[in-house]
Amino acid sequence: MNNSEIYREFLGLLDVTDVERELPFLIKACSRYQIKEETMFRCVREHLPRYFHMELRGVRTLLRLYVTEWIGLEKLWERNVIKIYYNVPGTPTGMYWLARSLKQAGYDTAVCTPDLITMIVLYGIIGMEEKIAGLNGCRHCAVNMMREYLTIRQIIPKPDIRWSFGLLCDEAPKKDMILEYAEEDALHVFIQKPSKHGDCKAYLEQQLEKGIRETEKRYGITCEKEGYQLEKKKRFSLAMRIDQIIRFLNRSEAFVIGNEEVGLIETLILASFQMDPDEISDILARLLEEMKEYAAGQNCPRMQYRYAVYYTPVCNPLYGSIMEKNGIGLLHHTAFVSTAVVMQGDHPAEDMAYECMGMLIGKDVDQEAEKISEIIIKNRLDGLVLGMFAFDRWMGAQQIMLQQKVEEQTGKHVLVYETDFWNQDSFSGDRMEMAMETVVSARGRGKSAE
Amino acid sequence: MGNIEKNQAEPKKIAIYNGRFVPVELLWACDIHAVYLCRKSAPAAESMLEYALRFMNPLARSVGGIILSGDYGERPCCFLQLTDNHSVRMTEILRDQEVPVTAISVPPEDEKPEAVQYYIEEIHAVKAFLEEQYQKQIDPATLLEKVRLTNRIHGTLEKISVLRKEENPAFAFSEYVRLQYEMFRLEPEEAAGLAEAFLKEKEENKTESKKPIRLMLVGRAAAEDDEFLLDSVEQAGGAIVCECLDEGIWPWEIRFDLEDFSLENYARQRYLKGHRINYFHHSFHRRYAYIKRKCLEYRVEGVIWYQLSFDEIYDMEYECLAKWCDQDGISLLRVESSYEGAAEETAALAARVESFIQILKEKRNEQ
Repeated sequence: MNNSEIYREFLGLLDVTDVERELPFLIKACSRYQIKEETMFRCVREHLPRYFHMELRGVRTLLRLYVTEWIGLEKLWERNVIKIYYNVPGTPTGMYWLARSLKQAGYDTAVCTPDLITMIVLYGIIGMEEKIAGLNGCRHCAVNMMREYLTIRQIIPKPDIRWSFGLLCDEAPKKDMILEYAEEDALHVFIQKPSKHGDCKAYLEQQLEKGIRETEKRYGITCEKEGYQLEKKKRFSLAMRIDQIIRFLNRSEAFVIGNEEVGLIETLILASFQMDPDEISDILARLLEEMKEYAAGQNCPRMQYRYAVYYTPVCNPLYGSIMEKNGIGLLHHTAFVSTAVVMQGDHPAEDMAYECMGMLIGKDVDQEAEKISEIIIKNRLDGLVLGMFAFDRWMGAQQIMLQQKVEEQTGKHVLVYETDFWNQDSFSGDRMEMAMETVVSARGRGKSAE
Repeated sequence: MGNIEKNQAEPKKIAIYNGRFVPVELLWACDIHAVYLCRKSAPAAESMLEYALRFMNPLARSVGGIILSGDYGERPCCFLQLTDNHSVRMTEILRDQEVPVTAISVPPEDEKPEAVQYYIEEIHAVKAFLEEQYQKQIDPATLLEKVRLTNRIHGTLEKISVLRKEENPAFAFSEYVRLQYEMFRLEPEEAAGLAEAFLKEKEENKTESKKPIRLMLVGRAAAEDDEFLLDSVEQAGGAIVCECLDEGIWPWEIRFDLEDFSLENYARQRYLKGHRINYFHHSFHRRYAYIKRKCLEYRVEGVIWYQLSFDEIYDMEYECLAKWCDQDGISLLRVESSYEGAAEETAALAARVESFIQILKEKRNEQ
């Protein structure tokens, strides 16, 4: 096998239609991230077949969506395109709307969440073991580190516009302020909640409005409300498609697809893709149909327990697979619950402000616990899994209180299994296997386990 | 607490506050005895693990644990500034435990007029809360009088600080920190008196010639009862002659302009005056400019960066500071504390401080 064969095989496995066109970009991208050929071999021969239902066309399409988005970052070097980057969670509708407005004015535009996509592809899909965005003394969020790495090491081109959101995290905008000095020509827009308590709508609306106006001024464009409404509808459709899949899995009580795949599906609402959201919705619709057929014809492993989960660590497929082995399905990602699904307010900045404030995980622990409990009861789930953001100064801080409150309100088991969503250096599969065996064994005796 | 009881003829309403963005003069004007809380306590920090995961800076956990411990009475009234996620989450825990907390949101985007306005509205809300809660109207004249008192205290502290510019500072930093905490416990008039007495004593009392290594302390806080670092510096022949600390030190550089005095004007100055804390947007460059200015003004020979565990944004600032100090030839030492006080941690810290000061002594001798 010559050097490029394994890359070709990788693309072929994901049903990439024009392999020869994509191949040079994939090879270049792998070289930039120092992905070794043996890593690609392991990915093709072991990692993908072990952790993903590669027999399902829809799953291959889902993986292709992420991988082509990632390869697309490499293509940006050659495209004369306005690059809009933003960190998550932000307001994807607003970002897609800016891109749409620029496109309507004749600009080629790409709206990207490069740090998130890169983390997922490198560690979740390719299964790279080496950590490239080095961490220093403190427990920094690895996705923030990745954002810095991508720019400072010039792995991807610098953005023309960077929107920096501090809706949960107060570390992310700080990281982007450091990047601002390396991206002198870019328009930087900072959107940070002035307070984690109380009503910030008017403040956020003002800031969002300013950011939009600055973009309009720089490119001489006008962002029309109609365009925003269209993007909002697209996101609504996407959210509904995702929900259909989750509800189907909830009903089927079988692992038609795995926990990792569910995590990747839920992430579609968080990340940005260069593919139109309607096309992504269509991919999900076809996947759901395929899942239904597959469930009817196959002897899928039984999902003995169905848990809500904060966010399945999609950068570590072993996590989800250990859960599966023990019959635990991770459905209903609470990190993506939002009250801002349909258009609210009179104009886009107002709706964007609602979107920024609507995320459940941005609210206080009482509100979060109440809503999660409602989800557990409504969907007759067996419990909740927390702990993947133990390091995080916002998301991880109150997980013990969240555990106590949800247990009190639902009477269901809340498992806090500490791990790092982004960085699996300290993760031990053996340790988790043992912990899950204990949980299942205790559940088997009709008890709730710690 | 003992001091408060001794100094008061009648028991006063007591409230705890945690930083310079809390409008303490409004509390004073409402006849509240405001106690500033920024204290290290390993057991208190440990006790918070019942509610929160360990990745929260130990000062936030200490303060929360102390409030819940009953040291200041059961469920004391608290006025807490929210200047990062740690403080927000700690406030949530306190509220969950039914501690009455008035939170003061401090927008990080201090360069934006909307952020200033947001903070002003927060101060209005605190005033409205106080008036309703304590059934006492806060008139502008009383507030002005209290702000004058702050100016008096800050003026005295500035004069005290000037003494630290001398080749042989008249007092050690640990003594200065103890004075600050003593003042924080007192009524403002008494605090002003104590500072003035301290100044008088130190002006009269010339110290022997030791020519210590002159250092600047930078970081989040020099908390009460967190003296190990300060003692290590002093024992090794160093003197902290100036500081850039975001909490735990009376912000004496803030001097309120009293012309056209109004609540808005007061709030604006409280938000915008004084050195920029780490939490503010684009603060790293602005803080470094401040640090450099201070280094020149106080003839600093080395900077000690004092970081608390899990304080990621300070850690990010350190990365920048280290680069800039290196470019400018400023000697820099980073030390970190988890507040646990384990022998390995403190011994390593003392050894590093000692060798840092030793190197600075050699550098001085070479000049």
